[in-house]
Amino acid sequence: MPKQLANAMLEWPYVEGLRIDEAMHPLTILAVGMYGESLPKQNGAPLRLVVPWKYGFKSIKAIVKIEFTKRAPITTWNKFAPNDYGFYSNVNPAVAHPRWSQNSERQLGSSFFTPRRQTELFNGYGNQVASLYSGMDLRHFF
Amino acid sequence: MTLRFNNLYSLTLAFCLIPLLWLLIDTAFDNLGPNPIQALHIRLGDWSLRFLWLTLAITPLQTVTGWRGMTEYRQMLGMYAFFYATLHVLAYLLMDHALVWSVIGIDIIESQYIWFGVLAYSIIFSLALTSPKWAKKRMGKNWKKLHRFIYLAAGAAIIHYYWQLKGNMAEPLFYLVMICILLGFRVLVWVKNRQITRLMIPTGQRVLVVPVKQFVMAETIREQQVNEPERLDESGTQHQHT
Repeated sequence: MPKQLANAMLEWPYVEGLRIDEAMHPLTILAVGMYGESLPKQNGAPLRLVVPWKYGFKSIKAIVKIEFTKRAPITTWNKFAPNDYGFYSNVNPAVAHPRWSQNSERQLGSSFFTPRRQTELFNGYGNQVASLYSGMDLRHFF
Repeated sequence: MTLRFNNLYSLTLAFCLIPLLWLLIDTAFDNLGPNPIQALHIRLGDWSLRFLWLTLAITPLQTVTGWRGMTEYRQMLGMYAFFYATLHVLAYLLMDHALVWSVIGIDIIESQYIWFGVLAYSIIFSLALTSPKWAKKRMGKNWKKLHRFIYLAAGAAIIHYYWQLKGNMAEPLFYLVMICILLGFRVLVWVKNRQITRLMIPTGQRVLVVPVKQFVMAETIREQQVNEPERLDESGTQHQHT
C-alpha cells in the first residue's frame, strides 16, 4: 500500500509463522484468487495466506518470502506486544486480550442495532483443527 | 454589547453540534468505512474527549488572559462533553450490542479499558445532573467538591482512551500532552497560592491565626482569580442579559 512503510508502526517487513502441521492443514490456503478472479492487491496479491481459525493478522498478505525454521519465529505482533499477541493467535472467546474481551464479535456487513454474536472457539472450525492442539493449555499458548 | 455576547453564545452552541451533523452525514452517505458501527462509536467518544479537554481549558485561559465571563461557555462545553459521551454510551449499548445484556456484561467485565470509561461517564453524568444553577444553590459547598471530580473524570477518560489503542500514537499523544498541560497548570496555581498564603501569614502568629488562615486563603484566591475549581456551571454574576 502507498505510504505503508512511511507510516508504519510495526517493524518492516511483516513476519508471520505457522507450525508445519498447521501449514499442512487442508483449511490453510495459499490464495492467488478470490470469487473466481485473480487476487486484488488490497486482498494481498500476488500470494496471500488464509488461516480461517486464527485471528486475521495471521493471514499474511502479499507474501514475498517463505522460510522453514528450526525454532518458532518471532512474529511481528508478538514482538510488538508480547503480552497481547501470542504465536498461535487461535480464535478463542475464553481467552481475553489483556485489555478487552474477545467473547463476542460483529459480523461484517451486519447493520446497526444488530446484536453481536458469540465468538466461536477456533472460529467455528473446532471439529477440523482442535486435534492440532490436543493436550495444550490454550491460555498459555494463546 | 449584550446582543453580541448572546450571538456568540448561540453561535458556539450551534457550532458544537457540527461534529454530530458531520457524523450523521457520513452515516447517511455510508462514508464510515468497513466497520461503520465501530467508526460511529469511536468518533462519538473522540468528540466527548475533545469537549472535556476544551472544558478544562477554559479556566487556564481565563487566568492567562485575565478575561472573565467565560464560565457560561465552560458550562456549555461541559454539557457537550456529557452529550457526546451519552451518545457514545448509547451507541455502544444500542447500536453495537442491541441491548443484549448478557453479552454486554461479559464485555464490560473482561474489558479493563471499559471500566475507566464507566468511571469517567458516571462522574460526568453526576456533574451534568448538578450543572443547573438551582442545583448549585441547593448543594452549597458540596457543589464545588463534587465538581472537582472532573479531574478524575479526565484521568479516567484518557486511560479509557489509551487502553483500547493498538498503536499509531500521534493523535493520542497530543491528547495526553494537552491534558498534562491543563492539569499541570492547576497544580502550578495551587503551589503558587500556597506560597502566597504562607508569605501573608507571619510565622510568629501561626498559632494565633489558625482559624483565620482559611479566611486569608480564600481572600487570596479571590484576588488572584486563579484557583477557581472546574465546574460545569457558575452562578449568576456573569450574566449579562439585562
